[in-house]
This record gives sequence, C-alpha cells and structure tokens, in this order.
Amino acid sequence: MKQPERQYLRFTKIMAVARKLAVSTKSSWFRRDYTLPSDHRRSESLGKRMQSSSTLASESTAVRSRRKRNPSRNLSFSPRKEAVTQNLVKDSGKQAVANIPEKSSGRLPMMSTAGAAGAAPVWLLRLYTVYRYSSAAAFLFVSTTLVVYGWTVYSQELWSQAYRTLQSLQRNERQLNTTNATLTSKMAEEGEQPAAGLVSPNPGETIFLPPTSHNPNSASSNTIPSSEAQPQAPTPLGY
Amino acid sequence: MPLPHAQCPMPHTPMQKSPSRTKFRNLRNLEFTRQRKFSRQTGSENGTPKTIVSAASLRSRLFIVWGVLMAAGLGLALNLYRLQIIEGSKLTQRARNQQMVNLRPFMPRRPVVDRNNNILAIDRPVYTLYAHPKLFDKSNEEIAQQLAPILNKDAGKLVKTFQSKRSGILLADGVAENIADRLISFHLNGFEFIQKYSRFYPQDDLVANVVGYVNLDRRGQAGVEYSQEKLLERSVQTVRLSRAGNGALMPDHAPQGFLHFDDLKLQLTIDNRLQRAARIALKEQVDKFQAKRAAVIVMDAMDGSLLALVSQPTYNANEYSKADIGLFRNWTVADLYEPGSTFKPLNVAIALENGAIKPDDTFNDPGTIKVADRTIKNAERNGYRRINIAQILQTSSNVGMVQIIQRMRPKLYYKWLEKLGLGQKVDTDLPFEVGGRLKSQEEFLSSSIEPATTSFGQGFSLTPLQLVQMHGALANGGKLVTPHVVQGLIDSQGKIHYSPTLPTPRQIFSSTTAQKVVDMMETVVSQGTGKASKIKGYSIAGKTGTAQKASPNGGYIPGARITSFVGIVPAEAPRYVVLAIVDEPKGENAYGGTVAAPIVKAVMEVLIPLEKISPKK
Repeated sequence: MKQPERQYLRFTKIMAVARKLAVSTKSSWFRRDYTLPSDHRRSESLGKRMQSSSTLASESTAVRSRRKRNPSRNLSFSPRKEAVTQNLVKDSGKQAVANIPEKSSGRLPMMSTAGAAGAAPVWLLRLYTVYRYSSAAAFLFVSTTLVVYGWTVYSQELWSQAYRTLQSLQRNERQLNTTNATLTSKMAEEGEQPAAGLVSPNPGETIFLPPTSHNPNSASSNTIPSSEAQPQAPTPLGY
Repeated sequence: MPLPHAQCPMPHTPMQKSPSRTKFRNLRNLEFTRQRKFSRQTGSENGTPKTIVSAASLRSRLFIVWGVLMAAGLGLALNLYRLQIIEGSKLTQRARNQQMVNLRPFMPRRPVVDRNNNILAIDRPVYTLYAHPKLFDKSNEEIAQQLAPILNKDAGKLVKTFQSKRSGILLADGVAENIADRLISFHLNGFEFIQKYSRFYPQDDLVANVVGYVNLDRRGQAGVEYSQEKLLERSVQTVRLSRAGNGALMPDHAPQGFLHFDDLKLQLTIDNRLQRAARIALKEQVDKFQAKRAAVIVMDAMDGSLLALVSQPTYNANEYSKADIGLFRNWTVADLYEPGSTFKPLNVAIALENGAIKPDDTFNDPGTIKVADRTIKNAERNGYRRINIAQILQTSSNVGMVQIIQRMRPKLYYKWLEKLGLGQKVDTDLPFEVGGRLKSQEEFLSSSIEPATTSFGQGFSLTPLQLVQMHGALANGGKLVTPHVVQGLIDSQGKIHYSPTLPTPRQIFSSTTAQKVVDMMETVVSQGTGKASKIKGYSIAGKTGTAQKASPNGGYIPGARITSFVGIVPAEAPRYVVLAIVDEPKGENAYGGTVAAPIVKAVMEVLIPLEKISPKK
C-alpha cells in the first residue's frame, strides 16, 4: 500500500508543477489549450481513485496528449529521431516534465512540436512549402482537367444537339419546299379552270412604255426589248 | 502521429494495462484513442527486448503493407499496360464497333427547278410501313381505329390484315414524312418504318417529257433525270459516327466536310408558266381535232435555250408505273417526221445565200410542174399566176419552190442540206435523240426528183427539235445554235456553279439573208396561210406546214398528215422560235394554218408579256 501512496504523492507533485507551468508560461499553445482543465481534472480524479499505480508514464501521456493537440494544428510528422530530440532540447522550458531520455525516444517515429517556426529545419520547411504549393497546383490541375474534360463532353452534347437542330431544319426546309411547290402547282391548275375567272397575260392587256428618249441606247435598240410590261398607273420613267 | 510509448521517461515504472485503459476511455479524441491502443499494445510488452521485437514487427508490418500496396500498384500498372498497349487496338476496335453507327445521311438527288426557280423535281423521304402484330401492346381493333384515319384505310380491313399474319405485314408503301411523323408520335409497338427516298414531281405531268422520272432504284429513266444523271446525283457517302448511350450522335470521328453538302439545284431553261400556257393551247386543239399527238417547242434563238417543250399526251411522273411506256419517249427528239412546207423558208435561205435567187425574183406558177417522170402539184392553188418569193411562201407554192431549187446545182444543194445538219443529231441534252434522215448523196443526185421533193420539205426527215434549231438560224442572224434545256447548276443564292459547254454556234447564213427570209415569212402571217397566228400590234413571221405522213413501209399513209406551224417573234428583231406540230388531226379543215397556227398564237400571247417583247413601232 505504500507504493501507491508514494506514487500518488509524486503524481500530485508533478501535477503541481504542471499547473504552475500552465499558469506561468506565456506560450500561446498552453493557454489556448482548452482541454487542459478537463484533462487535469480527470487525471486528478483518476489519481484519487487509483488503487495501485498512477505512473508518471501515464502522466506524461496526459501531458503528451495535450501537446499533441497542438501539433494537430501545426505540426508535421517527423520520422527522424534527431529532429525530435533537437526539438525537445530546445523546448526545454516547456518540456520540464517531459524530460525524455534519448534512448527511449529514438526507437519509433514520433511527432514533434513546432511551436516556434525557427525551430524546424530549413529543409522541412522547404518541403512543407513545396507540399503546400504543389497541393495547390495539384488542385488547380485536377480542377482544370475536370473542366476541360467536362467541356469536351459538353461540347459533344452541344454538337449533337446542333446536329439534331440542323436535321430538323433541313427536314422543315424540304417539307416547306415540297409543300410550296405542290400548292403553287395546285393553284395554277385551279387557275386553268375557266370557272376560276383568271386569264393568261395577254399582249392586248399589257401596257408597254417606250424607253426614255435620253437613254443613248434607246434609239438603236429595237433589238433589245428594254421596255417593261407595267400595270396601270406606273410611276413615270425617266428621272 | 501516435507517439510511441517508448518515449516514456521512466522505464522502470510497471505498466498496468487495465487502469491506463480505463483512464483514457472517456477521451473522445480520435487521435488519442489510437494512441491509447498503441500504448496498450506496447504496454504489455514493456521492457527493452520486447520493444525491439515490437519495433521489428512493426517494421515488417509496414513492409508488408508497403509491399501489398506496391504489388497492387504494379498489378494495376501491368493491367494498364496490357489494356492499353497489348490489347489496345483490339479493344479500341471493339469499343468502336459498339459505339459507331453507319450513318447514311439524307443525300438527296439535286432538285430540278425551272428558270424562275419553281421546283420541278425534288427528293423527299418516304417510309415503308410494316406491322408486326405479335409485338402489339394493344388490341388489334384499338390500333386499327387509331391508324385507319391517318392511313386512309378502313379500320375493319386493317384488323383483318393484322390477323392474317403474326409479323412482317406490309401495311403501306410510300408513306409521306408528315404522316409517318404522326404515326411515330403514337409510340405504338410493333410497327416498323423503313425510310427511303422518292422523287416527287410537284407539277405532275406538266414537264414530265422534259424532266423525266426516276425509277425505284433511283435511276433516271427519261428526260433530264436520265441524261443529266451526273449533275443530279450527289455522291452518297456512308459516314461512320460515334453514338452516345442515349442515341445522340457525337462529332468525333466525323469525316471532314461531313455537314457541308452543296445546295446546288439543276436549273432548266424551261419556263413553267409558258409551259402551262402551251399545254392549255395544245390540249384545246388536240381535243378539237382529235389529233393523235401534238407538241409545242419554244426556243430562244439567241442561245438555243428551250423555254417550253410540251407534248400531248403525256404522263404523270409521280405515277409513271401507270403510264403507257410509249409516252416515256419524248417524241419531239426521238421521232422523225417530214417537215413539209415548214422547211420552205430554209430552202429559200439556202438559195438566197448562194445567190441562186434574188429577193425580188418572180416565178411562173402554173399549178403543176413536171420533174423527171413525176408531176408536182401545189397543195391548194392550181391556177396560173406569176409570183415572187414571198408569195411562194405565202401560198406555200410547191411549184415555185421546185423552180427555186432547180436554179441550184443538186450537188451544191445537197452540200447545203448537210451543212444545215440534216441527217445528223442536234446534240441536245435531252436523251434518246435520233438523227435526221437524208438520202445518200448518190441517191439524192441520181434523180432530179430528189432535190425537187426536198424543196418543199419531203423525202427526208428530221425531228421537230431540229426544225426549231434550223429556224433558229433564221431568227438569230444565221447561227445554228444547240437547243438545250439545261441551264446549269445553281446554288440557293442563284449563282451559277456549272453550266454545260455547248458547241459554238455555226454560222450558216448571213444575217441579211436570214432577216430577208424572216421578212418574207412575216408576210405569210400578215397575208398568207398563217393569218391565224396574227397578234395585234406585233409582227410575227411564220410558216405553215401540212405534210403527208410517211409510212414506215415507204410511201405515205393516205389521209394521215402532220400539220405544223413555225413562228418567229418579233419579226423585226427575231428572237423566239415557236413550233407547234399536230400529228394526224382529223377533219376536212385540218391544215397547218388552222390546227397549228392558233396554238402558236396562244403560246406567243403568253410569251410576249413573259419575255417583255415590245410591240411593233
């Protein structure tokens, strides 16, 4: 029973440090971290309930969990242990609790904070920039491709619509022509009937106007029938 | 993302699985849950050797995952290679076969229009309608009720037809496009529409002898449809187009210029209105004299274009199958006849051109003249008189004509007849044309009777069209033009794209000779046998002809004659030649001047306002 007590004591001590840190530090991520109180509370209540072990390990996990929430916003994944350690060392002020031995941390890929921009290696930042721009470019390319592809499909659709219109227009033209010719012929046939009261044009009923005198051709042009058949009351020629 | 448990700063701390798990159970953070799992897993294998093992297994798992992904990627790449490169062409072909349709776009024969762009012949799609009663989704009666009024058939009969066979009943042939549209709009199952193209002649029989007709195989069989096949046919190309799932046609793979077929029409020189007027006049006289057949030809002598070419009886080109086969032949170009007196003005022109006679020469006409062993008589007047050349034409004196021709050496005369084109073809664009017949030179020169009979238009034969061509030479100042009906191919704007090249007109008479003969012919109308064609205010030149009809067995058919009249208008500036010819008119008073001249007058009365010919000053 002693061991749990000791452990609990150690735990509360650490919590106190953590709380102090939470209060004292000006680091923005700590302040913004709204889950901290609840975490804290939970770990506290947990500590009370705990029978055998509330290890520092679990505490460190809790802390890590807090830290991790921040990385979810602005962290990049780093598989390299050097990066992580470097990071951790530099962040020692905040990492008072998480004073992790290099040995244990080097095993597996892990996340690291990038609270300060200067802390990340230049190549990583470059990579990140490349990633950002390339993803924007990829997005652009993909959307352009989609638009172009869509247009090729749509233009074909437009063409086939226009082709259908053309065909129906041609058909209408054909039918119009045919009907027109049939009607004309029908009318002419009906006009042939004496009952229709229509007469053929007749030279006796046609008025021919002599060509105007100032027309230089008129004198010599009785070979060319230049005068026209005109109905009644024609406008006078010659001006 | 998950932080490894090994980061834990205190390796000595004994990890108990369950509490740590419960501790974090409430946390909803997904990331954290993952981490929790991780911690659980690693927690159980705490201790350095175990951690190494776990890392190794993790690595191997990662490797496996990587391997699987890579293998999958490689597999996909291989499949892509197979599909695109190895089987690419085969698959493309298969897809093409599925998507492409063989499209035979509506490639109509070019329409035929007259000189005023009135349609004489046009193509239109028609449908052959088949019924398959086994596919009907309504009762036979219902369908019959629906179809009967549209197809103009009795509903009861339709039901019987539907019951006769299960499938493949030919219901109607040559269903027009608009009727087919209405039937299709009912969306009935079990009907099949097979499209084909048929030629439609809106004028029915008006221009049938010029335009001809197209048979079921879409080959022209008569008239321009036959002779101008090359101009009328558009090259029908089958186009392969890809088709979308919904049946819409897609433009890819469409051949270049697929949509740009020409809008050319074949324009004829025929004037529909004149044709109609000529037909009315012709019909009237044919009925009056119960003639066997008759024809009118109107030619513009300037270029040889035919404004009208009517023959009676004729056939309806839309129902050619019901017509008498003999009517398909245009007898104005395919049949020969002896022109008789209408040939006299040409003989006068030949004699004048040769200087054998002077315009004011006079001749003795005793009524008969003996040539070799035969006696030649005048048709009407037999009393003695002294007449000039104009009077020879006016009274149609055979004796006078024989005397004129006797002033020429027969050989020279024969040369001239050949020069006129007798015995040769006109080379018009109407089909089935025959050449005239002229006796051989030996035969012609063997007896003096030959030139004598030829002088009044007998003993040789020609087609009516050829006679018009020869009179055209009188009307246009001596040039022998080619009579034709094809103007050329015009587009929808009226621009001419092609016009047939006609032989250059041959000058056979001098223009003064031609004009002198026309002047003499004018007196025929004003004072002579052609008075029936007088039109007030106009001077018309003309010549009647009443010829005995030559029998195919030699000699002449007793009582049968061909009456004709050829007129030239206006006489003072000759341009239009009108020939009316009536075959075998019945009745005592059936002569060129009584039968044919009124036809020419009626035609000219319409021609004058149409062509705006000014009256005599």
